[in-house]
Amino acid sequence: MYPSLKDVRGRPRSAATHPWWRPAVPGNVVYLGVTSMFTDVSSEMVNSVIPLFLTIQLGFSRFQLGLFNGAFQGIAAFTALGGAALADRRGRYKEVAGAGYAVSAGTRIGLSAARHAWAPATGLLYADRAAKGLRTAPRDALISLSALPGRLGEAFGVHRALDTAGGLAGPLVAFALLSAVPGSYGTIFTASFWIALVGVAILVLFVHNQAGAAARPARRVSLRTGFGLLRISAFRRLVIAGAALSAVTIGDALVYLTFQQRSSMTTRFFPLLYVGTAVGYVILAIPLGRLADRIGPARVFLAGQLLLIAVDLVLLRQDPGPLALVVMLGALGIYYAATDGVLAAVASNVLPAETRASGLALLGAVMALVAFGASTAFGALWGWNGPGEAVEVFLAGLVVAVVLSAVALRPLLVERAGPGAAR
Amino acid sequence: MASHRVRLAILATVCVIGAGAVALSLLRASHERVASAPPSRNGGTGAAVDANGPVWVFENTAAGPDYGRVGVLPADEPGGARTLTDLRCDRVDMAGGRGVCLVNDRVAFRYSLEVFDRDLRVTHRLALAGLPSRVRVAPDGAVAAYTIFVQGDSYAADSFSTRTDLVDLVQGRTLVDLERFSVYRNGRRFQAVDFNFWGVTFTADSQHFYATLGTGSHHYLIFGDIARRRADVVTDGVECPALSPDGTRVAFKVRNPADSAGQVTWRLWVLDLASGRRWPLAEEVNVDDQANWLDGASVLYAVPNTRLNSSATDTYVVPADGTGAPRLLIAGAWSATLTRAA
Repeated sequence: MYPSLKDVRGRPRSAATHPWWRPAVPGNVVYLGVTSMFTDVSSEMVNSVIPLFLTIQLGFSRFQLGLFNGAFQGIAAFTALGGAALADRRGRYKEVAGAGYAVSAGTRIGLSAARHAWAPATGLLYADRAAKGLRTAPRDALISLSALPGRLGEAFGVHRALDTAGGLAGPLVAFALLSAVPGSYGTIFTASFWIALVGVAILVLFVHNQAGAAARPARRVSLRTGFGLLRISAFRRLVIAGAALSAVTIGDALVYLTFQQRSSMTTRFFPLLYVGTAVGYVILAIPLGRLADRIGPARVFLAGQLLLIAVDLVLLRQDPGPLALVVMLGALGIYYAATDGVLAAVASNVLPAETRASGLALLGAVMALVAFGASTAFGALWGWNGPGEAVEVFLAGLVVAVVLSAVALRPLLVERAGPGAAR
Repeated sequence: MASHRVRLAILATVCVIGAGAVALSLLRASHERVASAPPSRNGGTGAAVDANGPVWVFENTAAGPDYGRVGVLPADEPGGARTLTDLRCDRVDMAGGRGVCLVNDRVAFRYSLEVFDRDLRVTHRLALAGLPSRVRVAPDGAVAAYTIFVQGDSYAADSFSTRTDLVDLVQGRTLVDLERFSVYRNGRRFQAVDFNFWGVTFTADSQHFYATLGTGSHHYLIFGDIARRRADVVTDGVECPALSPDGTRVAFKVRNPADSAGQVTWRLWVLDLASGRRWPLAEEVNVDDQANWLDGASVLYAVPNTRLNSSATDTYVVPADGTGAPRLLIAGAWSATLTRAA
């Protein structure tokens, strides 16, 4: 399947001919990245103004926003296991992922009609997130199966970099459209739909399934397969660590709202906070992905959590200024580059190929549900005692969680990069 | 699967159709905008208007193309012909030779505060972080207070969040946010996360003010000391106060119980600061406005003229002792203030 010649560091000889600055990733990974990029432009154009839209236009309280935000992430958990089982069963990663991307594109048309009524609008946003849950695990499984052995971190790094570049461009496109013709929300939704459609087209036309997993006799893959994978000790430890860390991570929207509340920042610039974080993420995703390949993804993942501590410390400052803002956004960018794709690499290393999507889905679902609880808790703490106390509680919890995770992940931390994608 | 070239062609087609659809949508949106919003930025080249007082300065809300422009009337002829200036404000106040104009650009979601001099020329501009609703200039013309909505856009809403800042009009910059003040109740310091300040009204010495502090279900009347950054709770149940020229009474709003449609309405009352006595004024219509004093004996305020359309308002005056009846003072006016000779 893959060339068996490897040098001492586990890199296939064929990859050695690539110059250092060109990522050694196959076309499939790149196309998946480009699809994600277009899809993210499409969704971030709309999502970047959602927290403001909900609190200022629709009058959501902080607690309600925490609830919405968490449910937003939680909804994806429900569809993730189903989509992953579908994909694992016959190796139909492309089809399931494609369905997810297509549904998301479809919700944009509905949003155009329903944007002033909060019930249909939130319903469609939830449908979009459900579709995202459906496609994430099969897509990541496909990336891990397409990547060159020992270059998993780099492959995920490339995908996440393209994905985030799209997320970065989204708010800018929205800003540009609104500046050209202020109040043109209908145009934003139209553009969002067509951009998403281009993403779907790229996936349908240029991405192909990786034959590997389906060649094995299919063990019955069902919704419960993911839970069965918990018998694998390394995977179980990973799920525990992931859940512990999710429980004390303050979600993006709440980080930005907290910062805006404690500073004198104008609401007009709120969508650009997402851009600030994304810039750091895009620049560092590939380098940190390579670092993960070199020293072991679990180590990079754990180290990334320390950046979150920095973010919490910034939020504790009274009246933070522009310097604090730069520090916070920079830390968030590094954090994402070190943990998002890298976690998928860690998980891919410990999961067998034929049930990889299910395993990734379970990990993602657990973390999303825990994040839901965390989001609600943060909103409640804010309502009782203000943002400062909420951040303090989460910071203390984060320190504990990092220590706990280091203990839980010890077996993964001592070995270097796993033996490669194909097992 | 078809050849690579065919697939590229299909992709290119999708992109082209998409680009066309977006361009069409943009064109349509831009076309719809063309005939609507009036210019929102105030140029500095106003026709020379003598606002040296005593004159009425107000926002003209008479229907027509001059809606929103600041108007000036001689103090003794409020019913006469008004001079319209080039200033456009959603809220205006003027005292001591300086004025403040709050501008709400609904099209670009831009809110700003403009300081202008006695010739109605803009001297400073500040960007505001939210929808502005109230402004008062201190009698000495050196400081002003304004309130913006940080969350929500109406005092009638269930939950809203306001921010009130004091502005230095001479230098054209923010002095302090009222959230920074230490608030005392019954001599003891108290604070809560849901503090909302609004409705500032200055005393004659321009060093102190009264305002509303909303927290929980209370609307406290607070008395603030600007230099010491301190405010003390005076009493409860007073919303949006306006201090009388002699400093002895405060005109304010009281919330009526919500009607069958859940709408919030207010009634104007007056409080005597020394005795604590309070009484309602003769105006029974809903007044969602910060009142002002014409002189020691009369309170003025604006109400929508529902017979015409929802954006037309008229300014009325009513005796401050609770007797008499409302009388139309200036038709088609909002945010009126009587400036005295500086």
